[in-house]
Amino acid sequence: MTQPLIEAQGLGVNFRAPGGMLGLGSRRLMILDDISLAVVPGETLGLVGESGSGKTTLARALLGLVPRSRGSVRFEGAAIAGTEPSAFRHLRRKTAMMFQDPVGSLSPRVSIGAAITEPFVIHGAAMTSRREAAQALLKLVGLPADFVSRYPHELSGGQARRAGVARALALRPSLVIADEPTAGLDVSIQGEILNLMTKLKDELDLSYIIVTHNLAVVRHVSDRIAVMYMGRIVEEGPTQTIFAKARHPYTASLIASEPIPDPRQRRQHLAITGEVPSILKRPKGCEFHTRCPFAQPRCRAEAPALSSLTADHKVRCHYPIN
Amino acid sequence: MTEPLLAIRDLTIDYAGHVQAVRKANLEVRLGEAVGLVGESGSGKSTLASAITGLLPSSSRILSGDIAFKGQVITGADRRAQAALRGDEIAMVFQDPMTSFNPVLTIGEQLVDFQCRMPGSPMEKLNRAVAMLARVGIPDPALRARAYPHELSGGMRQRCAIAAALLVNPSLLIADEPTTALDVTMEAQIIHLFRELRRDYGGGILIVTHHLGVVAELCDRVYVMYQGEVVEGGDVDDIFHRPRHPYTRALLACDPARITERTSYLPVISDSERAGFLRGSSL
Repeated sequence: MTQPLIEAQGLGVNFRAPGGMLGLGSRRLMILDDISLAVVPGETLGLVGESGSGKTTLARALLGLVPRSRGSVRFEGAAIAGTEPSAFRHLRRKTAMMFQDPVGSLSPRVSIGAAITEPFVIHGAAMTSRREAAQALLKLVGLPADFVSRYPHELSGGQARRAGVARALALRPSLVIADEPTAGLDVSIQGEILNLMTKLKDELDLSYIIVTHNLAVVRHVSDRIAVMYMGRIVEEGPTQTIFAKARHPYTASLIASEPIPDPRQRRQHLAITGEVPSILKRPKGCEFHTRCPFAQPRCRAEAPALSSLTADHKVRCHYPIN
Repeated sequence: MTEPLLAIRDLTIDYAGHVQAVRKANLEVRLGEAVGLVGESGSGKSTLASAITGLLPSSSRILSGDIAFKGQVITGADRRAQAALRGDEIAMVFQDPMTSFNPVLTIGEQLVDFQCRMPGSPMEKLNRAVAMLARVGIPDPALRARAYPHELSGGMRQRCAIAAALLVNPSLLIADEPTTALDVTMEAQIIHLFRELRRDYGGGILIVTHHLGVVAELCDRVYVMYQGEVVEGGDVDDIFHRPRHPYTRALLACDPARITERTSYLPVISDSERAGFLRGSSL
């Protein structure tokens, strides 16, 4: 078996919720729990779930941008000791993050050329000249060379996204984590960005973790998907298997909620109602039971563990859909 | 045939005297009908929606054409008349439910304020607001009326915005990207709510969106805008299954949600294709 590029075992993250006088009543809030996943070289993993499900926090915890409270992270087989930023420094050059808001993640006062070559400066990496390095990166992502001296407000959403790709790839990382790479883009531009990411993946031997709530996107670009609900992975497996037959009721209702762009296939019934419960008041037992159409008494009492259905398909449910 | 609720005829709007954001646009909304207006960003769909509500920025002006509401031309009407129309007859739901409410007033206070032109005591107005919150599917509406906007989730805020729009009992409801900021599960619930409203209220609904899925799920008819022009309009089934304009065809083809087989490369609209879309459709 190939050695995973990045691997998490029993990863958990707690935040401290302020409360009470002088912070004496502060509580520990569990944001992520019992996360185990691995990405092998050349693979694309899609992390999906509703807002607040913890997918962005998981992406950040894998890179040490959020300190983990439990569990371990291994990168290229070596365990990362400690949760301090310094413990992650050696993998900064090999990993990169594409942030959610493409325009917001570029400083308005820094030219595109300077922004996308900043990783070279931070890491003291060799480059011929900053201008040439910038132009080479722009060419890589299909932007004209004169964008070097442009500023973020002069770019369209799709162009800013390309600049984000260029900055992420500056140091030729082996793992790129993309947070909502297509959010806010028109459908025609979504395809362009995803095609660019696919092309660069093949050219530069990249692995991706794509964080998104857009199922149509993960369906096309990811080899495997992990579905998150309230900070836990509830289903994980090959994309095609899951789309053909989701076993967790939550995954099934997510897939059924996606509007179908065909007026002849209008859905008459809601696949899922209500909202994600507050993490301040986690439901007892299986956390999905409050919205689950198949909930049984056992689901309200006992939390299910993530169990394997087949070698590569796991589900956290007492009664997986058959 | 009865007179349409809203009729836009040959409307041309320009910005700062040189950019034509909307060119000779024609659009109709009839009573009891949900109409979609789709296009990419920059296609002019939001400018067109702003023109209907009289909310065009001061740098823009209507060069030609007009907008008629219930048979009366409303473009060029004085500002007071337009404002009255906006309050009583036309209501709008915006994309971002967070910014459409005042953060320092409770939802209930704001829903009472929205009824300022309507008769009734403040208590009656509050009761009406609570009843409307219940109608749009807010649990514990009396409690939620005392909440501030930041205390509600995005989906709840959008429901409140829809409740606010419906309070004045408008004949035309315009929703600008009403589900774009929401998760799929909440999007499905909001689409469901709009469907119920269309059935119960009998007014016209105009949904402005770039999301083809929303249009297919909700609308009876759809207009497609490209670079300021309404390039195609018609029955939703015709547009999705027999699109005539090359742009509509290309837009439908590149929606990842329509491609069920996994592909490593998705179709896109090339620049050369784009150049051809408006050729021949001279002004």
